[in-house]
Amino acid sequence: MSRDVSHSEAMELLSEAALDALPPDDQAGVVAHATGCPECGPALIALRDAVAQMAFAAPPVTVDPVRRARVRTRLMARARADLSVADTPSVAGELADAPGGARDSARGGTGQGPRVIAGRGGPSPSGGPRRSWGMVAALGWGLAIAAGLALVAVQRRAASDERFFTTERRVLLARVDALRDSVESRDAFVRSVTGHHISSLQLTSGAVRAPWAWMFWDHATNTWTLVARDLPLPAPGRTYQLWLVTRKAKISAGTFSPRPDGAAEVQATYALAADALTAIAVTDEPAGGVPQPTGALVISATANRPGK
Amino acid sequence: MSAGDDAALAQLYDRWSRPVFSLVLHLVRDADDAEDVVEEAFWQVWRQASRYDRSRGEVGTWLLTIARTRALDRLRSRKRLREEPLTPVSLGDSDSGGATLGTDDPAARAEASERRTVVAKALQTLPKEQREVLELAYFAGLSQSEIADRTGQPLGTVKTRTRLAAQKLRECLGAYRNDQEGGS
Ligand SMILES: [Zn+2]
Repeated sequence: MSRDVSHSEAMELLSEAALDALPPDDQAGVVAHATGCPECGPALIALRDAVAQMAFAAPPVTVDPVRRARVRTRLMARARADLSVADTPSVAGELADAPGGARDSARGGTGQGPRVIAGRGGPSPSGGPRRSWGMVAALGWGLAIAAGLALVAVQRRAASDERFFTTERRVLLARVDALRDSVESRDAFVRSVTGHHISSLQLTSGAVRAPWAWMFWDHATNTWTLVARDLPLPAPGRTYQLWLVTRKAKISAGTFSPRPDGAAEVQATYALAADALTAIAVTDEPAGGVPQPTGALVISATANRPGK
Repeated sequence: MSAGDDAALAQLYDRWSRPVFSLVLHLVRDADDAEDVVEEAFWQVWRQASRYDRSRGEVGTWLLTIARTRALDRLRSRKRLREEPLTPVSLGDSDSGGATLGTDDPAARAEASERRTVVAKALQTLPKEQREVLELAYFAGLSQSEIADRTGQPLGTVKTRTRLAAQKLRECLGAYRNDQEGGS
């Protein structure tokens, strides 16, 4: 995610970093360096602050008052719903010990694409569907500089900010954050296996303690969700690789390992014509995956009614 | 508790929605898209307030940064970034005739107007070619090599201009901040 950036290199790149104009690795490297550097840290904060002011150079527009009011109304409704969830006693109790639980997670990440919902994933060999794993650390304002470098804000502005940051709200919002993250993850999973545009295939195996799996294909979003159970754990140095098979090609959808209980939920994104799929297969391959299947078939399904 | 918290969000919105809308509309150039982006930007700030490190500056700056990031994401997802000619940034004030809402905050309006003047002055102190790279990076979200492609300048030149421009802007706006601090 991030590469090592020296002090002199960071100094060179601070302006670009302030504009979020660097490639992700460099951006992360500069931010990581600045976080611990007494010279680069304050300089990056000041540059970011200056650059952010450029927003005021956008030509002022007269926004339709109805639009502005509508957004306001929606925001207030969302805020009230959020706070009422947080007031629910069982929720508050459950999360009471973890007010900072979500504190270190990614901020405003723009990471997109498929991911392992549970179980461990690995990179897809080249040419396969895109995959990314877990939360993507945001590069935006991901800079936690010790207090004491504080930029002094104008007093009347600071007073208004003060109200926004009451201690109570901070604790409450951290709880809501943790809860929301978990609900959003479940909602996303439920969406990927339900709905109008989803077709499904059941994968089977001839093994004794037969593993089984369902593949859900959301044609609307090109999302493939594999839900597998009772998979044996791959041997050391081995991994499972998921394949979308068409008449012309075997397309890697990435590698994964099940949890110790043999369960895995994996997602990949890949656009395929509704009638192109002929089969789904999971094979046992060397760690890291292979461009074309070489190992034993673990579980598979034939698309009898392709695309539904 | 929730009444007070609602009020904090309402206050934030009334104070900042105007410049945020202006910025986002300028970037995405579609009123429906802008509405979505603005809502999500405020929502993100509201939700992440607990994680915000206040030593990094005021909330409004953070909000504008989030709004810009989200707007550029939206723009990229529409894949229209390269098809649309850039509108030159106008430094004049054309916001004089807007309808006013009951929820609008006149002090916020005055503040945005004041800041616009200050930033416009700061940008005007930059040589034209420095201002250009800064604006392409900020308003179009272009990387340095994309700017080099677009302007036909060598990458090294673009990088130098960006660095000089950002530093100059920082100096000008920093001086303004210090004046404000002393004067309030
Ligand atoms: Zn340094």
